[in-house]
Amino acid sequence: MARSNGDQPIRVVIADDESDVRLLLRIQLELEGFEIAGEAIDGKSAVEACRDAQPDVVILDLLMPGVNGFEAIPTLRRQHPNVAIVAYTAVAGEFVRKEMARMHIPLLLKSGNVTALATKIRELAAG
Amino acid sequence: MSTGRDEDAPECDLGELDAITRSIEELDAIRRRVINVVGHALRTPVTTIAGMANALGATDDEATRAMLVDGLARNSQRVELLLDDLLLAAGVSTALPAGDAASSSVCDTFAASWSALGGPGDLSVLGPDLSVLARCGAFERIAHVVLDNALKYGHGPIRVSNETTSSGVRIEVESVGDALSDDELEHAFELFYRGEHAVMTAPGLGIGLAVARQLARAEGGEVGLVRRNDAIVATVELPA
Repeated sequence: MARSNGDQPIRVVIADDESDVRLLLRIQLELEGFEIAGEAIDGKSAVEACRDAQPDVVILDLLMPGVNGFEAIPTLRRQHPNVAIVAYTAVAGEFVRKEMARMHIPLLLKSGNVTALATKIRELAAG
Repeated sequence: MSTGRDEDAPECDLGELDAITRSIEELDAIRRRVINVVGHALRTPVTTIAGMANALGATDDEATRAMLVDGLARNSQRVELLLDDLLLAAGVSTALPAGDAASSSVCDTFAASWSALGGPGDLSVLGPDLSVLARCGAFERIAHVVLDNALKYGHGPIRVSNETTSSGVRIEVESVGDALSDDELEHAFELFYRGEHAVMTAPGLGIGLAVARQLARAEGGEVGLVRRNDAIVATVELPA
């Protein structure tokens, strides 16, 4: 199991508007030993899921309908400062990369291989 | 005495050369933009397929395996549709549906697209139970595009209705939202055009409406987009 402290598994919220991406991440991360504490389909529900589940890490897609990932970041930071954020997106142009770097948010491109994401989540959960 | 210049060569002034250079640079920018958006649009389904294939080999749980197989089928179909759209956008006529036109129920086709897109609850079409005449695949693709746009960019409930017209059937898909400004509405049918709001909210190619219009026109119909108060209404007209 992926542990955050002691015997507790690292708890993760997945925020992505694509149901198949959520399904895949849930399966892949559970196989890696993480606990999926919640799922969200946009930025607003990501904030709510973090409030309800108090995860260690939220995986945040940036392009989502309604309140998108970009817009959710300030609220997440303000309301849930202990929840680490990983930006996980298919699109990462220069603007996105610069903004994530400016906010010190790790950015990963969507991939079929979950290893890089799992490693980053463990790093963030370890502080 | 020779000047070293081909006397028969056409005259070409510097202004003309500048204009040609600018055109080449613009075409190069368009080429890069197209490759960029195509790459991004393909990335999510392709990486999902790769991830699901990997996960399938890593789990023995039958229920999980069944979900992954379903997901592989969905995402493979999505890639197939993307490729069809790209071929249609490129003007490849062989990508147009073939065969004879057949009658399809508006209610059934829109309900099936709604379900495939993961729309909330069941979709009901207001008005009589009408059918349109189109070749296999064309009407389904048009329904998919207009519903997908409404789901992605609209707020609140989506209203679908149909009515008989003198030339066939007119379908309206109305969604509340300001995803496209009035200026942007005029450009929505241009290839690879994406409104400012769309760029920030969802990945996409920006060819769906252009392809839907192309398909509708090939069937003798039309696809349009109008603003009605605080809603954007996609209109589909097809023969019956």
